Amino acid sequence: MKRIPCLLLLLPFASACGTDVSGPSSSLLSCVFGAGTTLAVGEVLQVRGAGNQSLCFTAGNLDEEFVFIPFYGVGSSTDDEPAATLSVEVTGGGFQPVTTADPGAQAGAFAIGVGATRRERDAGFHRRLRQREVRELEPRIRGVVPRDSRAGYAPAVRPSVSAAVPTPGDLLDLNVAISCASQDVRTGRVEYVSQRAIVVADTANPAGLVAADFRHFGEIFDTLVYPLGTAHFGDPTDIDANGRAIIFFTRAVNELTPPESETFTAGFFWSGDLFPETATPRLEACPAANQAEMFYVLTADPAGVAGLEWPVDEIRRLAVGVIAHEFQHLINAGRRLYVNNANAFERPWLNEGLSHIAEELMFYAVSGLQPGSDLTVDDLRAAPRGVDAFNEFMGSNFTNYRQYLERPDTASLMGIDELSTRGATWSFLRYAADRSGRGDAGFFQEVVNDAATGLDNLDAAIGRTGGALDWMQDWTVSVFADDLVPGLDARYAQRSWDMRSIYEGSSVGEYPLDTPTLSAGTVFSVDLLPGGSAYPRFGVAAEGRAAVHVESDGKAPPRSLRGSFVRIQ
Amino acid sequence: MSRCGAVPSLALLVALVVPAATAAQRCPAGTGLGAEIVAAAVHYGVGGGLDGTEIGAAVRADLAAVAGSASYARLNLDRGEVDPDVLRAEIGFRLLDIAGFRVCALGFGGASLLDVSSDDDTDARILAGGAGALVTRPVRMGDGWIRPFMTVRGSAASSSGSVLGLDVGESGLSLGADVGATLDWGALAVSAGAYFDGFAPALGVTPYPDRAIRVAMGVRF
Repeated sequence: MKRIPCLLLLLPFASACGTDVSGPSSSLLSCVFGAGTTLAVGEVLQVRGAGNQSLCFTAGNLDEEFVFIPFYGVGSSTDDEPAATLSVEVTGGGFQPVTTADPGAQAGAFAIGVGATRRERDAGFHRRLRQREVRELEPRIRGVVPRDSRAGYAPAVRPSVSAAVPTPGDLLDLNVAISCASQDVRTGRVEYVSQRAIVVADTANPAGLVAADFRHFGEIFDTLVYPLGTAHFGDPTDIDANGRAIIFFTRAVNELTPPESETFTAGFFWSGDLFPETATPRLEACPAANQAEMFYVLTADPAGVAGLEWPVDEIRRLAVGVIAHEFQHLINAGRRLYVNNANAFERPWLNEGLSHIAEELMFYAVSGLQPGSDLTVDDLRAAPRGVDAFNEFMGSNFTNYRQYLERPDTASLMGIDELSTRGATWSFLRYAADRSGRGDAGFFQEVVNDAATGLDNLDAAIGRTGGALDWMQDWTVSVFADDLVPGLDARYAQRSWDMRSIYEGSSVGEYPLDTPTLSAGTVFSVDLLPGGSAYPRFGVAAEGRAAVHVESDGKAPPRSLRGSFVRIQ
Repeated sequence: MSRCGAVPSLALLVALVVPAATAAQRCPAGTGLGAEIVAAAVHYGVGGGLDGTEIGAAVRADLAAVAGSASYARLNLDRGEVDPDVLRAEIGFRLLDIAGFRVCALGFGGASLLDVSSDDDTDARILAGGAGALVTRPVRMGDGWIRPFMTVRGSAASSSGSVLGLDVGESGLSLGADVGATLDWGALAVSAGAYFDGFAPALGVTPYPDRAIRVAMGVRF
């Protein structure tokens, strides 16, 4: 039969034309003839939309296992309302039970996050804060920045709070109302002035933090937070012409969390503080705000006078990460307003993701460990300050990421700012920076210093329209397969963290990703948020075949539904 | 020697040496009944390429300006778990004779039946049918006739049933062509032809392969 094509040469007048296949393309019938898709262990097949609605897999002489990762690859159109989900139904046949289970390691020696604080942060306040910025402040951005005012530090905006560098003991009246109109003025006493920070404590704070604490925070801001922040995100503005950021420890932050709450607000930055008292060609006024580079941090409250009880030691462990987090917000907003000529603030999900990257950068600096080194729990334990630094600066990232892993379908790395969103966005940004090959500073500087926002911004940083969604799809593969499946292409690697090792070695005891199994004749149904994904697994018997069929609301799925099949065994 | 050389030699040998046929002679030629055995080598584009052979039988009736045939064949494919049964039927109408050429209209249909006995969840069929035109020019050769033919045709196919419990429901179109010759020698006949179709691989093993060489030998009553 192999000689049949030769006749084509001899009989050129006899020809056959291609066909127009209506309906979804399918290789199901090929499957009957042993011609289904075959993948090597670690190989990934990526598909999109209806063109690959059904896929058949044929196994070799060993049992094989796969994970199918549907990913709803569209940007979220909303930051404050749950986005419309995409219904995905997966059916199939020929499956055999999966034999690989996520190894249930013994609970490890340290508890993620507990080292810094026993509580989870509250994303709700920040979500409302960012919504307020969009609603109240973005309309006040009205023109381009004069070119001679863009480079370096900010234009000459008349400072109202701290035109001169204050000295310890000075009292400052600071509005904590998060508003351009209303006021909730608290008096702060300058406790310490460093080269880059003015550490201020609310005079109404409960007793707790002492002068040595404020000195420590100021010094660590100068030696770690500021250099890391500026190297990775850019120089902050200086609208108050004092060359410093004000770090305001105030019970006003504590008061945001009621005593019975299980979550808490650790601090915040309010972009309104960067707006002028009187209008400029670039910005309308925000007269009630503080006109200063500043942010607000939780203070110690051992007796719970202002809300939850916060022992001094807990605040000492917590505050530096919070300062690094808020400093990124300050840099980001300031550069958008005064340097990068942007007409909008960064989308909250990406803005928060970058701030969680700032916390991670603190971890590396303090622990001496390096990004890109696939850190395991043993690496943390081997480094003198590994576990402590992890719990101080990475606890919230891993706690947030855990929330994402537990429900990757109803969580997303984009859209509404939830803790799970923060965990996923942080992980993706870390993945993208590592994959970019430009180093942390090179990649994050590009993300922070672009006038675009959200996915468009990430596309620009990645260098290709649609590149962000492509990388997100690859990242979903890494979420499951990295450090588990051999033979993976480098683009599916999370190069900085061995996530499985960290979770399995911690008190969590296992990698928390939800990976249901597909069974023949049973519909696996999931509603994916934009940016959401799922991780159903299936097995194929040796010499056997199995087919997977994907629909959305009973119809062929849209092209925005991407899928990745990964052979895992 | 090139690999191409052997095949036309074989086809030519079959065409010239074997005495007579009715099989692929699908334009009506007189009145009568016929029966034949058919063998073919086939190729499908399914799964990157699927080869096989086909063995079957056909019956035929010629009635003045109309000829009809029905056939059954069993496909033996080089890969997979099933050897489909293939049923085909064809009817030809003589349209005109001009300058020694005879032109016929063809209508045809067929079915491939896939039933994997070891798998309760796989039972599918591919139906196909279409119409075309055939041109032949009978040439007297001693006591017999040689009838070279060429057809062009359009076909449609659709699949139904299930594979691994999943419904299949593909459809597609193809333009196809055949070329070959039939020798009639008394009551005996032999034909050989090359057949081409172009259904999408997703349609699977249709009754009309992407490429086939088909040889038939038969008798006419």
